[in-house]
Amino acid sequence: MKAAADPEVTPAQPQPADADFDEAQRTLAALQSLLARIVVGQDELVAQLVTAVFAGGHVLIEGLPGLGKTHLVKALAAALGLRWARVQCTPDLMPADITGAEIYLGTPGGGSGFEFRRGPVFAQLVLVDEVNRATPRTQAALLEAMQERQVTHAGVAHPLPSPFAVIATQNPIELEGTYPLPEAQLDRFMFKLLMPFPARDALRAVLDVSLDEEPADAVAPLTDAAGVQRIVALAREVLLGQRCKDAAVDLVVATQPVDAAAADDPRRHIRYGASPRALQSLVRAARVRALMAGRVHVDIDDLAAVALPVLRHRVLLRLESELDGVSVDAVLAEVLRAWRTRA
Amino acid sequence: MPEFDALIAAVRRRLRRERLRDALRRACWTTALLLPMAAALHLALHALPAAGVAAAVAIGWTLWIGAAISRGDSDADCARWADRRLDGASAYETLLEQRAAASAAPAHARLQAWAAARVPHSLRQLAGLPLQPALARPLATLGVAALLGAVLLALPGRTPSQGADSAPSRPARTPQAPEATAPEAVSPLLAARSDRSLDEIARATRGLARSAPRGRRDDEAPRSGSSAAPRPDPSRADSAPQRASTGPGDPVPSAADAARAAPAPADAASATASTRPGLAGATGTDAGRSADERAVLGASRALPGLLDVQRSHLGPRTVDAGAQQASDEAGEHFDTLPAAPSLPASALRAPPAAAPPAIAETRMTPAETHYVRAWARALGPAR
Repeated sequence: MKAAADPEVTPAQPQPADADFDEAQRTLAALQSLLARIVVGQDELVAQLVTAVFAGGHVLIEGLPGLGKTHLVKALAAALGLRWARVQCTPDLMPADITGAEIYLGTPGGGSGFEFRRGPVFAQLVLVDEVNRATPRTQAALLEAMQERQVTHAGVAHPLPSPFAVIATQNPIELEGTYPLPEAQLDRFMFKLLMPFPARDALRAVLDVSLDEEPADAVAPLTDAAGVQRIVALAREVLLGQRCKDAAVDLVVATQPVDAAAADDPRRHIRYGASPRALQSLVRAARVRALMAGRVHVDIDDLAAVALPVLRHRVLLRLESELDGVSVDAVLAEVLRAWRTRA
Repeated sequence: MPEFDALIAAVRRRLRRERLRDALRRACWTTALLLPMAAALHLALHALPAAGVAAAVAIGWTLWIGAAISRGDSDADCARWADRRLDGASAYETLLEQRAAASAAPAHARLQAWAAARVPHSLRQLAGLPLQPALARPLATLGVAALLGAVLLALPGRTPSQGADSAPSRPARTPQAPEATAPEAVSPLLAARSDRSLDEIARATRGLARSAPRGRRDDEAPRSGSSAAPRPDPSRADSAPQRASTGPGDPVPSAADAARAAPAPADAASATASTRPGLAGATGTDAGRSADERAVLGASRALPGLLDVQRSHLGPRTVDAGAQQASDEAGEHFDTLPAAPSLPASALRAPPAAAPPAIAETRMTPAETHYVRAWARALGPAR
């Protein structure tokens, strides 16, 4: 397999200096503030989205139509100065529509040949809208891109740009004609975020912000791809103590299923628990969270703050519990409460 | 990093003080629990020396406090406590780990600066935290318990001889007069037990008497024991052995009941006939014309027809002819043996019977008096 040269790949960053932490914190705070002004009433969602992007993860956002998911991603891409692309998934969407295809081209000199035309997945920030409407074959085309950060076509591996993040959305209603994401693909998303319906005050503020214009189109970039890379590198320098490591492991272990007869244990509802990849995502996201708080060390609170979006789509409930109306968030809330008292 | 070290040292002192207070609290509560128990033991079962109790308490306190003082806290423990209680946000523990690893990470220097700026705030928080656990209640409880224990332990305790002094006198009397109802024959414990059960017996008997019709038949009388014993039937010679034996389904009579029911029915009947003026000169023709009050003495009789029923269960006696013949031959053989020439006739004579001991006390104990009155009250309406 050959590797195609890609001038968009950012070279390795030098060792971060101490002063970069302050700048990173300022950038992250400014980014949150900016996005919170554009998408009103979704402060926590914005914070989680920024956390996932700077932790190098992909995000699955679930929410009703018209809540501003696409708007939020556009604003994020504009604020970070990243090249972004949008894929609107439909049942007839083909994998080549995402990854790209080889087309036959003639050159001005009279020659001709096949040339690989890159698809939208080669953008730095990819918005995959209504991802559950694409066929499994097309969804699988995203697997390699999301995990390996490269696209293999005709035996040639094409690396994706860096930073690279996939932000997919799906609609919890109108499930007819959809293809629910398989568990393997769900596990590749670092966060699954729920976009709630905004409160009344937020709705009122929406009229002031985005009635006659799209504020995302007028966003001035706060940083660029290199700046994002520096912050990502800084997040990897955040210190993680033994106690926090143990707590993260304990949390993942606490999501593993137990005997259904354990009446007082919320884990009796769980069929499959979180994976080791969830543990990695948990710690990486907690590092960014600590950086956003102006710290260079992870605290238990950072782990707790990102636990729910990390674990929500990785924990599967028993069929009996689902039929009883038990939600994953309720089970995880009990698990987190018990874990927090022990940690 | 002196600020951080100062914080760790302050936390260590704080943890030691809290551990000491916790040991004091445990010692106070335990002592407050044990002192009344020791006093109760002292008064009820065995006398305890106050000095011994004090020495045991002192040893316990020494062990508790010694264990609390001797246990040390590591730097990691102190850092973890500071992280949790002083808003350290895991910084102190992480800093300790980084310092131990001599880390040169860029974040290490920043963490040191962060912690150095945080230490004064943590020290102020530490000074403002109240010491746990509170000792006011345990100390107050200990004071009350110590005062109570000291007063009770100062009282003369129960010695083992007090509980055993009546025991040697019983075997001296009982072999000669097992039927005696003297108060010495009933141990204090048994008497106390009888006192407690007398009311219950009386209530049960009274209830039985009230529920039974006035002209109840003998068949309906309770079969067992002497507590609700039916009157003996003079016409049945085998009533006494039948009364003495209790069936497998009958309740086992208590020791007190056995002691009271000890007089043989024949003796009781004769004593009744000799002491009761109404019955002293009674003849057989007077039977049934006066109330029979012998039941108040505790005599009982078997149910009429019971022995017949029991005998009816027995099959006819079968005598083995061979065994009978062997027995006859053996008897004849021993009859033909020469008499032993050795012992004189005086040696074979039985010694004269010793005079029975004089009755020292004929008055009934309060328990027995209560018992008899209860019987009389219970049987009164039935009669």
